[in-house]
Amino acid sequence: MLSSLTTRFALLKQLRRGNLGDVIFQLLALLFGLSILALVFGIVFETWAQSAPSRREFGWSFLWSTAFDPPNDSFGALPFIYGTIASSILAILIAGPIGIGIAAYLVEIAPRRLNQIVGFVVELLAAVPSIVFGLWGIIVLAPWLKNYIVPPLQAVLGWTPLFSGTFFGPSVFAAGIVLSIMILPTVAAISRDVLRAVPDAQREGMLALGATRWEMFSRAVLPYGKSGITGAVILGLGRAAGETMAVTLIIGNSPKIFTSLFDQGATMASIIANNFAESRGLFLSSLIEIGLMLFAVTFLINVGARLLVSLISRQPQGGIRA
Amino acid sequence: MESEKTKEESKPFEDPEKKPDARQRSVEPQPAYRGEPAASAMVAERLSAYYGAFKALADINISIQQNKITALIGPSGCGKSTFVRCLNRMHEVTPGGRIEGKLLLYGEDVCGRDVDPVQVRRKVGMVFQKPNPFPTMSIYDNVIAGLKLGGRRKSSELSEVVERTLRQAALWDEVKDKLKESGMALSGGQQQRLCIARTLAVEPEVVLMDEPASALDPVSTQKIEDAMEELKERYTVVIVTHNMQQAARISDYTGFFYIENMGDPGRLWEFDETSKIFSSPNRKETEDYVTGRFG
Amino acid sequence: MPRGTFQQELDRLVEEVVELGREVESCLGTMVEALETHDVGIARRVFGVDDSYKERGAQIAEECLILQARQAPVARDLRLIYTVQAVQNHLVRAGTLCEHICQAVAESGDAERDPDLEAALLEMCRGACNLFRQGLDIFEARDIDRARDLEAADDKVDLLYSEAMSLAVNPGKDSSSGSPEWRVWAALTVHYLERIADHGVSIGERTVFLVTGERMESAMRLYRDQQLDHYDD
Repeated sequence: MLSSLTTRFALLKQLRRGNLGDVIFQLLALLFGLSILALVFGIVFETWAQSAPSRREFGWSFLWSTAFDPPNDSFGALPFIYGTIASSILAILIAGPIGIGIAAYLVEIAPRRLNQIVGFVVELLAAVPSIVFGLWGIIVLAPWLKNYIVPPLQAVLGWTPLFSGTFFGPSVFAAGIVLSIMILPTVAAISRDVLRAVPDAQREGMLALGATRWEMFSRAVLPYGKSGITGAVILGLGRAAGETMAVTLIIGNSPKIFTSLFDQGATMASIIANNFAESRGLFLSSLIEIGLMLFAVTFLINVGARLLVSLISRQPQGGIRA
Repeated sequence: MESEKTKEESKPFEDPEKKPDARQRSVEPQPAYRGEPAASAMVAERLSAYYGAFKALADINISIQQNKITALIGPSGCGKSTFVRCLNRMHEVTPGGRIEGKLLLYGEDVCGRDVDPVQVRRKVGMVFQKPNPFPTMSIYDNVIAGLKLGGRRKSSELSEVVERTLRQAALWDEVKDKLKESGMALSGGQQQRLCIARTLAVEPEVVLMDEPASALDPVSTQKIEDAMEELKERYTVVIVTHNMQQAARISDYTGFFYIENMGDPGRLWEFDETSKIFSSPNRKETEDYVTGRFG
Repeated sequence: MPRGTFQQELDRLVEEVVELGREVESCLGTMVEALETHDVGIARRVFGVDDSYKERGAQIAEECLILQARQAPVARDLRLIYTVQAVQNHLVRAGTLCEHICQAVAESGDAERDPDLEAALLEMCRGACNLFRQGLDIFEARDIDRARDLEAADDKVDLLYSEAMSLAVNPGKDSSSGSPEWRVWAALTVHYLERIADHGVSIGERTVFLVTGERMESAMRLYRDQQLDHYDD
């Protein structure tokens, strides 16, 4: 009786005792997991603290003030918020369809070898440093746009405010195009993964009903992958909003609310990069507050993307509920 | 001498004395179809299918009878699924998929170079192993998905089609109050019947079913089998199944696919009336397979 | 081999049937002895077998039913179970007839007999028992080549039957024609023997179906046609 009790206790002890290796692993993993939170918190805290003078001086009006006057220490963020949003949207309008088109080609049409090559090139594009894009934009793209693209565009659409004015080179238009090329790999690569994840059963189901390839893609594959593709597009938008070096080189850094794409403008990132080195006091504090807002904007875009994706994917997705 | 010759010429299978002998002997794997000839919906003549260089099916000769259910059985990998995918030319969708030989639908060649597979698939519909309703569409839209491909139609007409095909698929009573809901909210068996309705809506001549009930519970399976019984009034049905009892229950004709040696292409080993296949098949391999002595 | 258990169960089923058949066969042997010797004691040995055969037959039928329910047999398995059920029935019925005949022997113990009729009866008896054994042998060995011999043997028994029957209804004028009771017993026995022979033939025919899936008649017809072709040459 007694011996059976002791063996039972021994068993219980065995069952309860944790493995030492596991304990260490869990603690380490927890530590690293927490470090990322600490990092984010540290950044927010530091920018918040450093931007205190600016916040005290301008308050909430900083958000909608268009003033940008370093000699008089008068600053507002609206032109930069506006510039960021406008250039990002322009970029995504160009890169979205092209990126999805590349993905569709890679997944649905391209033979396997070509698929690998094009896939590699797309990934290579993502690895090109930002400053290279900026230089290319200012040296190659801007003159080319000026000579070949803008004249016909203005001939047809010149009467709209969007395409009015004179095109000098550095402009929101050029910045948007450079940005679109930069975010293209993101959109294309994620869309490709999303489309690849669409089950073949969906494709075959549509084909078996007598669909052409295009009908199959537009009616079965795209709807199935729409939440993922939305995510890809918004992720691209987030990248465009935060992009700095290339935009700084090519957007012109003019702190104004532009109406034409051919105007010069500035984004939050570009104005910081452009002025950070020679700024002091309240100017520096203002730039840091703009940085804080950039942080908030990209954060919001990402959260928004997540929400949108989960909202769309709340409709039942693939899988059998047998 | 002469008498011996006559003896050899006599049909081996119908001779009680020679029959056991004949079963052991390897005979030409050409199925002898012995039933009374009826109208053929589809005829395959020396049909072979390839995946790249690999020959998956060789010299299939079969005549699929109109308004009958033809079941295809056989061990895994023997080419049954490949064969039905040839019938609506879905086989070519697979990378490297290629078909040789002749395939006739009511006498019309559907395998020629100038034949559009898209048009063939409208005449020869297909239901897959796993239910694959379109998740972003409602039940209603799922049913008419195929119809919308061929240009718009009047919505009253569409409603009629939806009700008719859902009734044919024995699903109407279960979904008539929730046609606007997503098809994914249905159970697996209901989803599969939705897919059947979707296939019927295009009004094909032939309905192919590739193991339509293998992922379903017995009750759902029974409902699909009941629906099939109704279907053959209007359609010709070809069903691939691993469930031999299912083939025995529902089909009029049964084809047995078999691979003699590893690496060989699959062949149609025996094709006959289902009652014959399941009571006294002609070939030993068929008998071994249907009695579960295979392998 | 897949379905090993099922195959074992089928094999055991066949064994049981053959075993029952052999017992019926030995009963028939006893019956022949009783008919030859008019020994009531020997005849009485057979009394009561009918009930036990029926019980065993019912048991085999039940096993068949269970196998069908659980294993869903098709093709040769289905034919086997179908055949076993039929053969079991033939065996049990032959056993019943055997007991009837032995009862007749016991009750007609020292009655006056017609020697001609008795001779015919005994010959028919041996023929019928022979036929029964042949049928059983064919079933046990699945030897359908020999099945066609059955028909010829059956024709012989049928001939003896009509001979014995005509003797039974047309008694000779002399006093050796036996008592009327005995004649009735003899006529009944002749009839029973004919039935036993038929059961033997049926067992053989069922075996043909078991092996080939063809009914005996069609198989035989094909065979005969072929034989005729033969003679034409």
